[in-house]
Amino acid sequence: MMFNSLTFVGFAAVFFAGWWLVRGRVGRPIAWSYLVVGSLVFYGWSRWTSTIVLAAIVLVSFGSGRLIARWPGRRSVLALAIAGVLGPLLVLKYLDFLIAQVNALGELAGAGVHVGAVGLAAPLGISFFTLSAISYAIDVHTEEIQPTRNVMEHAAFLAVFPVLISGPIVRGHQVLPQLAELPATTAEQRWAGLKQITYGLVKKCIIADHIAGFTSEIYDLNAPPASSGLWWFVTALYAIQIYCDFSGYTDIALGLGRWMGLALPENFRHPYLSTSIREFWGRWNISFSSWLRDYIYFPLARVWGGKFGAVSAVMVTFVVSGLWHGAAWTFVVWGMLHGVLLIVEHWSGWDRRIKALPGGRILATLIVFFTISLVLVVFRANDLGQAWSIFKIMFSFERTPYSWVMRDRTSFHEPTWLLLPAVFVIVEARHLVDFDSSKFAVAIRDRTKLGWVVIALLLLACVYLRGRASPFIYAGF
Amino acid sequence: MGGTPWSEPTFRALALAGGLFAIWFGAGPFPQHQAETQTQLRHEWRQCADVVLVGDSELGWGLHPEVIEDELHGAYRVVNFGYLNISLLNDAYMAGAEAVLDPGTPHRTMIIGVTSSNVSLLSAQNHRFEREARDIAAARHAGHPPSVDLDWHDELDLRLRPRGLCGLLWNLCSSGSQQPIGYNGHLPVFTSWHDETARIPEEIDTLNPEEPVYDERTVEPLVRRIHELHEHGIDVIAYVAPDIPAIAAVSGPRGYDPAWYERRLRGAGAVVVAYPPDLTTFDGVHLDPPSARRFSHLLGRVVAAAMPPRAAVPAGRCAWPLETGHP
Repeated sequence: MMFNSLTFVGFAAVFFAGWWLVRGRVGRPIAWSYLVVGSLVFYGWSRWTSTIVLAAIVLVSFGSGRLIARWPGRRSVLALAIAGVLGPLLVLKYLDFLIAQVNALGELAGAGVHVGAVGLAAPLGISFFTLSAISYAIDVHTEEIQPTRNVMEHAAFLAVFPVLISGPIVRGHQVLPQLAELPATTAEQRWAGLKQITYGLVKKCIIADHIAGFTSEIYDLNAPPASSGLWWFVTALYAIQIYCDFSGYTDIALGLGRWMGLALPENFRHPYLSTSIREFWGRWNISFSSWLRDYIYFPLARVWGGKFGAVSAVMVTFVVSGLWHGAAWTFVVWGMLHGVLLIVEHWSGWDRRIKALPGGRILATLIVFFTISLVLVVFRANDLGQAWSIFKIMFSFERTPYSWVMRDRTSFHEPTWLLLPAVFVIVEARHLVDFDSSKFAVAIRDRTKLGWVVIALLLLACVYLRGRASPFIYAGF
Repeated sequence: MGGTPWSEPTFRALALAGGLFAIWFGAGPFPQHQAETQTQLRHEWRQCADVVLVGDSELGWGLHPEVIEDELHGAYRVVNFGYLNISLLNDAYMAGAEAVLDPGTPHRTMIIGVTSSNVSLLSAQNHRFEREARDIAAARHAGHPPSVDLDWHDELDLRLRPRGLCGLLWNLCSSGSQQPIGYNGHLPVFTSWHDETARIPEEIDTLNPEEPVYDERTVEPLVRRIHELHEHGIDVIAYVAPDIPAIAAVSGPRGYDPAWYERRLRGAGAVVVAYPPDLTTFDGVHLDPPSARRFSHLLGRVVAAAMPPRAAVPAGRCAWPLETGHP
């Protein structure tokens, strides 16, 4: 079930009506069970077999937490626990990729052996809840958190439906104390939740889905149009699309969390306002990048030591990051490019030098945005060959007019496009106002007494101004 | 914040959004209105066009008569007779389409879009077109507007379709009196809430699985009809749409082979246009706007090659845009 579907609207209405009724009137185990049952309905709606994988990971994670606590400090138990929760992800998501690589190597070596693909389908969101389960095992091992004692509480932690499909990746210390309390929601929480859900829907349904129609049409053409201007435009648009798609999902997830009384971790902080690649990774998919930092980069850098060790740790971390997004070489190369960019930035200090110039922060922001957008070409391309063709066209500065592409081959003429830049700026400006604690910002907020009217209009717009419905990009990871 | 639920902005916003949604949901484009328009247009056009397009929603949604007219330099009149709903190339429908063509003009063309939906035995059993014709005649005789029943799924889908900025504001100003089907049968493509790839295989699946569905019986009436059209002096241009994988998984084992249909249509004397492989859809089945436009251009060029050039539509023909009699 996707947040941008009619089915979800019906589900949410029933779920929250029940939640607000039962919360505070029943004990926590029943409340956890209610959360878990609702989450299983949400998750299994389109493919019920997915719930088996989810339930298996929840049970393995719960059991391994108990075992780790029983034999504290034993690395073998931790390794077993990690293997137990990671196994389904590796098999379901990467087995066919591995087989394809083995076949390709065999073909190169002239072995003449071909292993058939297994054709397993990874359930939605498996990459997200698997990482949560791994962090739980490690955190119990390091005694940062206590293991859960109730399987329903544990299931509610790993499988609470807002974060199930596309995160943010939650950790035990963030969610378990809240589940132990489960306070009733306040009016402020509900209002903040509704605003966040609405902004998320606007980002997804109005901005990302409109852009997605156009960028997909261009990327899916048999031959990339030979116009560098068009590709620079599409590249910038895709950067906006993926941000609005993913952060839109996160906003909806966080808003739903607020409606449950849970404060889920923020996942985005205006990443395109970053003035360095390092800063970008502190603002983009924060729960994932901090997970990589804490559970892969730091341990590797500690073990390997020195400059070379740090560089190697960065590269390994970003290759893992790429592979986490998908079993394809485009993602691996995308991750490696980010690793290289980070290392080059660290050694050259280009960002500091540029920021020291007059207007340097703006210049650095633009450089970072276009760098990130360029690397996203590899991320979005159907294969590395297409990415290479696109780069060649972009940097040939070919001035072929592309009006025919706009007019005849895409839906670019849709008048709603006129709204997109304004909506994007407004949505982002809203973030700036919310995060700014200056008196000016407070004054603006205080004047918005009719904010509920704006939210109602935006909700209506999400239905009737929406673009072609497309799945959330990160749900596929 | 406190007190009654209505003192909370959350519930006020949700209530207002719900109210506004109810207004837009109840306003245009009226599904009933749209279905009636489709039906009426197809039964009321008479003897006005030079080119008529026939087929199911894959053709009806999107293929643009005006784009084809552009390729004909505006000298010929084109009508899209495509029929939404799992469709039919049966005798009644084809006769209805032929009646749209002007018998007084020497050059007439029918463009037939063949899909696995409209040549199946299921479509041969579809008598909706005749039934609607009877209903319209009866309603007209009784002096009240005809009505067409939609199932709840279609109705919901129509009412929830995105309208775009213009559609939303237009509805705001005109209380939804928008008429989505053009006078020439053009039905603009909307994006769809749901994916069509599941529905059509289910419909094909309702046929007896033991019986081969796509065989001589499904092409013979069409071949016979093409011969008759030729006898009436009407050129026939056809294309056969390949199935997307989800539908091919059902239609393929039942014998749907686009190449076989192409050979049979060519053998009957139709000019067969190769279906461009890179056309894309908005819902898995129906062409998206750019693809529909591109395919319309392609068909227009094929028609232009078959029709002799002329300066303009001869004078004295019926009024254009067509008067459909619809309010």
